[in-house]
Amino acid sequence: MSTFEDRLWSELVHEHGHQIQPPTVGARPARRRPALITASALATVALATALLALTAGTSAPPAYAVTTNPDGTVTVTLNDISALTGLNAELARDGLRARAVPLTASCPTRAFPNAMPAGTNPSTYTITIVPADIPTGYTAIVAVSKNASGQVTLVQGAWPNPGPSCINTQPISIPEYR
Amino acid sequence: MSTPPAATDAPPEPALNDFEAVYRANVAGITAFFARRCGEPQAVADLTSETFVEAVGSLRSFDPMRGSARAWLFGIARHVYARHCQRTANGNHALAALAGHRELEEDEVEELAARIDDQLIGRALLARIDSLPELERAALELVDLDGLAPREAATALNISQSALRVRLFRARTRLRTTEEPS
Repeated sequence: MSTFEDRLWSELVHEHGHQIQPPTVGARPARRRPALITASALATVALATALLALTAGTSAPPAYAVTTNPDGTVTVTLNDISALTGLNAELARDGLRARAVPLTASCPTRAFPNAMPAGTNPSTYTITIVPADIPTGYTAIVAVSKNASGQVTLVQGAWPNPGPSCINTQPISIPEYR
Repeated sequence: MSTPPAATDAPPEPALNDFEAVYRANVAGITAFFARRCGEPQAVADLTSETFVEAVGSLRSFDPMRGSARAWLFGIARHVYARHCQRTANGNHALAALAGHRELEEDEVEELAARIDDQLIGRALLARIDSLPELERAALELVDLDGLAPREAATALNISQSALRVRLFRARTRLRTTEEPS
């Protein structure tokens, strides 16, 4: 995160954070969407993301792992970018509306242009999915890529079903119009 | 700017975390949106800030079933920029700026100046599509430059997906036509 973005966030929280209020469950008419759903889904639907990066270690960790935590969240670990098929099979077996897809320059689906470096743990390659935050009709998409330095990245967001099979972050270039 | 809230008004942790995730996922895109339009780092900072302040204020009106938060934020950014243009046209820009903005630190100015430079291609494309109808121009920019999915761009522009596709098709066709050598 850049200096400008960090300072702007601090400013937002300091001066306007009091407006970010929790939902008032049960206080609204039945036809209206409970604020709890709106607020919690916001992070996912809206490309709410966590990007974790690490350099592959010298030991041989499992290619992937799916762990359900006591609070209902699911931790996805992917150490080998080629293990997407196995990871997706595991997610499906667990009944999760979640899928990992490659992040490639050739994919026609453009999204996740603003991946956020947030890796703080160099020994794990994980991202946490909150099933309760995946809106009805949506699938949590974990986009996976590997950079030139060998670092692997995970980006999470929710897409209307069925979601893309891949994601492209490259903006279109002017020569494409020629 | 408004008076900082009292300690007892601190935002609840879950709601704050949710909004922070949205902020961090989209702030670079929103900044780029304004960097493409403004040559001044201070203006880029002010408009980006204004967009997120407005987003905080209308957070409760956001409905994820109507579109993604990214579409919602870009919709707000477009309104913010329209207001900015109106202020400039009315000659109130300087007054509004004096009333609102936070003075940038030197490193922020450098950073935002670099982002403005990064939008060289985007600005060139904007200049080339300047003669297109507004909706066609906006559709092309949101999809091809900002990377929104067509359904997100439709939400941001408050039009149907089919209308978005028509605008996009026409814009791309017009652009190709104007590019053909005579």
